Amino acid sequence: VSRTLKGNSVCPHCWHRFRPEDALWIAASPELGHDRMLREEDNLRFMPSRFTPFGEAIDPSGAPTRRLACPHCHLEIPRLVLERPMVIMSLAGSPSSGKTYFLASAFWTLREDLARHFSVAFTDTDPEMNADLAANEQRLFLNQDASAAVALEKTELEGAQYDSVQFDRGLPTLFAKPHLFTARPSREHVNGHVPDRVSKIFTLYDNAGEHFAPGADTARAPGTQHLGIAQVLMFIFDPTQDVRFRRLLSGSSGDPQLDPESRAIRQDQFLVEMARRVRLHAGLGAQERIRRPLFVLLSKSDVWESLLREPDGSPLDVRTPPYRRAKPGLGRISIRRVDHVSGRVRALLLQVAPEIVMAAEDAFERVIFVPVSALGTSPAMDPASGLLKVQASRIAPRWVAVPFIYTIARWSQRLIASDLEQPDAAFAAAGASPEEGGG
Amino acid sequence: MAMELVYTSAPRGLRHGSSGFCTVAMTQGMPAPLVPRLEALGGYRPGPSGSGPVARCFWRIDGPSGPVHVLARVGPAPADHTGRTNKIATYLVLRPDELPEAGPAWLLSQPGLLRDSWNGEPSLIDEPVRVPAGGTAGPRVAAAWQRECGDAGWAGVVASCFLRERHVPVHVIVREETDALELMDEVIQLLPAWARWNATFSTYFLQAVAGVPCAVRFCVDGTPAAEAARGSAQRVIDASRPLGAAPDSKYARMARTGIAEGDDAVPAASQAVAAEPDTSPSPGSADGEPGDAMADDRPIDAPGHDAGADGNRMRLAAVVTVAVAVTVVLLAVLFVVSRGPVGGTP
Repeated sequence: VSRTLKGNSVCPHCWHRFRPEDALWIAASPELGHDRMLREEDNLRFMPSRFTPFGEAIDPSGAPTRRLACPHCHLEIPRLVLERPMVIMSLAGSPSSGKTYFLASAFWTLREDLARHFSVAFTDTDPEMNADLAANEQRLFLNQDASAAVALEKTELEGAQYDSVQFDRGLPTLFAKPHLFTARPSREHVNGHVPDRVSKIFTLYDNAGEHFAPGADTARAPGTQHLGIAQVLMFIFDPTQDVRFRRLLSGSSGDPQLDPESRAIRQDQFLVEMARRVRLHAGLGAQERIRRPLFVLLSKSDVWESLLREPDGSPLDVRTPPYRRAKPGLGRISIRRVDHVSGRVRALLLQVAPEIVMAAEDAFERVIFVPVSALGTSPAMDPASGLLKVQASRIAPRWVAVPFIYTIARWSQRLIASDLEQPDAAFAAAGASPEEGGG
Repeated sequence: MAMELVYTSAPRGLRHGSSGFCTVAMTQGMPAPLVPRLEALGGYRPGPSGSGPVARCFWRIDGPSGPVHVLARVGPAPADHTGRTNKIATYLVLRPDELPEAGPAWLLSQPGLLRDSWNGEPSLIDEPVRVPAGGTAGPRVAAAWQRECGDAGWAGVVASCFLRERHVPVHVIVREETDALELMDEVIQLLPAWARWNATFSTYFLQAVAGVPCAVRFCVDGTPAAEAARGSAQRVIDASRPLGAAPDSKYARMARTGIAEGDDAVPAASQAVAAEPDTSPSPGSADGEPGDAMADDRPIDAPGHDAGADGNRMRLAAVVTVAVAVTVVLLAVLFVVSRGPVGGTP
């Protein structure tokens, strides 16, 4: 059995860098007791000295095992993490800005559109790690009752979405469960004959908005420290939480989120805090500009798209995806179109909420503004529960996959082609794997 | 007097600047190191029906100055200020002299003990919670288990599993509408007095937290926790499906008859000092078959006993003894050599 391992790997749970030979193995036998840093049901972690001819470690009871764990947090890691390049993308935003809906919608769309337009398989690296996200996808897009009104659970700061590790006796540290996906060319892809050379693992986290509030990043809940290591950052700006957008849209939309009584949030503070944490965890100077690209995702575009205009005043199309199949086995994204839309969104923001543009461009070298809508339709208040719900049959996401496909195309044209050949310095710098220790 | 802490999603929390899920109230004087420990325990997801059930839990957590007994109620709450799903978790931290003999499940069943709503502004609570005393301790017929499984003896299976290996959790899969607190109370009443406040549990188990043991876990059928339990090699009793008769044993008979047997036959009031069971380790049921776990009445874990720790201590003592012996021999050899040949040199 032959495997090519990377020189260094990063734990997707605690972001500890380690060499493959330092990885711990998980005992197959529960009789050996549980790992003292983890839960009662988590088998012992150990450093093996004996292996089978098939590359399995032999645990102290003599049983072979293939499961691996991080040498720092002891949480289980997929073997592929030691073999394939990993891309960490961080998503931040204020509470109720739509992060959970965006992730569920984006990953479902990626599964469909990467297969349909690009001949790329976008699959769960570890289905167990993605179980929560898959359940949300199921609720929104595969609901057996299409007429059902659905709502996703508010993201918690504890519970099933977190893995707990006991570094200090009696005090659990909670790590947000990572969502790992593998993008791999299918057999029909033009590079389908060398899948291992071009496939990548994508890692994302669904943090609660409360995690991004100033002062919420603690040793007990280091849930957002992935910001320091992420190659690509995304910030969700929700125009319906901004009173200026609400005034502009009053009368033109019946979306309940525009209700003047509903809570407005200073989102620029979350963006500034995000930049502060990126610098802090990446070891950058307090005023140093971050060389990694930032996507500012303006959510709920179905509500405010009427405000977007071309320079000549005509409406801007932010519904049709900016990508299509170019030829059999290869899809192409129009980087030019995305950049054009980004410029128009930036112009709108400069008029309505200029502090967002200033905060983003002051902190990051490269900022791309993308209008997205996770649902494509407005929710309605369910009087029985008091929750905002959406009818499953009306869900039609817009542009949610664009930041991901854009990123892949800017890094390498071997998986996804684009209409722009010149490299993007910010993406090239961020393209360095986090395993190499780039900041 | 017990201290309480209330955690839910609110526009403003007790800690300056906090919002969303946060602590909104707690008793004045709550030790600060306990707050993050409690907050980490309140994960909640609605059951398969989309609403409920309420989780009632008892944990022993490591506090800054020793083990702390915590009762909790975690359940759904009306939509929060952002129109999204919400929950409310209330915790009660008990003093060592506030542990009624009837056990934690009985205490949790007392109405009004734990809050199920918080509508006010965030605040410190001046009045500690008065913990009710009383309750009847000791074996009784496990009527709820009889209704649920067709044999009250299954309560004895859970009691026996817990007593034999307190560090290995027991999973009980139940239907969503089952009153798991009643089931747990019947299990606890079978336990000797020393064990009642060691039997940690959750009536709606979702996920374990590192360092916070949960010995008896009621998993609702149709949840990921129930599926994980079914697919694991752990000790699982699937009470959501028809169960036959429980394997016969002392505890199963006690659950069926309500009459104490053997060491447990002493009057309840004197059990705390009378019952000091055999401390020898037992092999337990490695294959997850509850029937095997209950096939006999072999010795049980005793309070404060940790077979692994004892083994380590014995190994350490042996190593120290050998090291001392080797050192003495070496010193003796050095002494002899340093004196040189007998008779000396000119």
